[in-house]
Amino acid sequence: MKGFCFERRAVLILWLVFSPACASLNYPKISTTDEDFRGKPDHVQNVVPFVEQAPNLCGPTALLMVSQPLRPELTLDQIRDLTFTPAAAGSYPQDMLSATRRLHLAPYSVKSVTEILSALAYGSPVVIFHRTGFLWKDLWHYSVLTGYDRLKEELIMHIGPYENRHVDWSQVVGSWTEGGKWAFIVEPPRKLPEFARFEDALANDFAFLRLGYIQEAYALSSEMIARWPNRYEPDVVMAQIFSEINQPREALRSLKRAHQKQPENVALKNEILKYSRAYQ
Amino acid sequence: MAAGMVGVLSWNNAFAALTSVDPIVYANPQKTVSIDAEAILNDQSTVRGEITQALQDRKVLSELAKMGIQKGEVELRLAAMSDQELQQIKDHVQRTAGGDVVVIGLTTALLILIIVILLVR
Repeated sequence: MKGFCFERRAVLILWLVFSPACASLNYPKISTTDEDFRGKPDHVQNVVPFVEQAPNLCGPTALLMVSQPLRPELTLDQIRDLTFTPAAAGSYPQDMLSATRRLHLAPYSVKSVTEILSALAYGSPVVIFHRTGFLWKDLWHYSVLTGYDRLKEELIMHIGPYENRHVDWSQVVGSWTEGGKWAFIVEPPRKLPEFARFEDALANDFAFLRLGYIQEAYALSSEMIARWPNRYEPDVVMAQIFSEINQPREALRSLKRAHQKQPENVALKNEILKYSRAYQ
Repeated sequence: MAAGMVGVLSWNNAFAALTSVDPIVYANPQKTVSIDAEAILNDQSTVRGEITQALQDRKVLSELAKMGIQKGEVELRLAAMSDQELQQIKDHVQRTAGGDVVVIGLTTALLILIIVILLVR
């Protein structure tokens, strides 16, 4: 009887130890449709430099891996200084985006499974914030998605010490959804991804202006004007750029172009009057 | 420079061309009026001002120092954030740091407690 009790207790303990691990990885299966894969290959694996993660540094390491093809001179130390918060022993999502812009690059959010697949098929690795667990450990973690395999229903990722590890996509997407669907790709300012949101591009443009990165703001604004010719905001940004490089005539032209697109905007009209008076 | 040229030239060339335009002669060259695109487009935004103001507070600076980040670095991080990202910080939304931080949930803590009780019985 005593032996039975011990055996039962051991089984119970084993179940208790392993059940949290199983629970944390037990996300519902995601379903994809043919529409999600329209125009995309069934298998994608981008070549993305791999850097093995040091303890606590998954954020800067992930950002380094996606930035290095665009800025090969970058080092992990540089990126760690921009992203890491010692007291948190990690990196906050907002600091990751901020750091990307400070590296003269433009982050664009990826908010759905379709967008993840599109980004990967487009050739852009995706920095993803997800949860990963083992036994009693439960980690929020940054990894880099490098590809996918439609038939196996797997995502391919650089995660921790593993290069191009194949992982069940339901588990990754499940924890990514739990974490607020936070993921992004990185592009140079002169390149707007096909699926870029106007709001993301404008946020990057404003950040470049605040940081004094005039060339980056100019490059991005030019792309935005070409992509969204009916939006007036990039023309206003362009007006500030011309103003800052002491080209008031061009600045005024940009303001007037913006006003043509948004004639009811009173603030814009006042700005044109103020600026015209100053430079008559 | 004509707006249409922007799309034709590479952006490096375009920027070089842009900055080489002959300077304009003003009626009053002393007068300078700058354009603030964000102020024109974002007249509703106050979160940036609130956070910038908070950075002048000694208590806030003391807390930041405890977190291991200097004021200058914080200012640069905030400058490169969008208003939406600043609002998330203010509202404590998406403020889980990614790293090797081990989070032991309440359920896990309870399970560990039960295991300990079972073992010592």
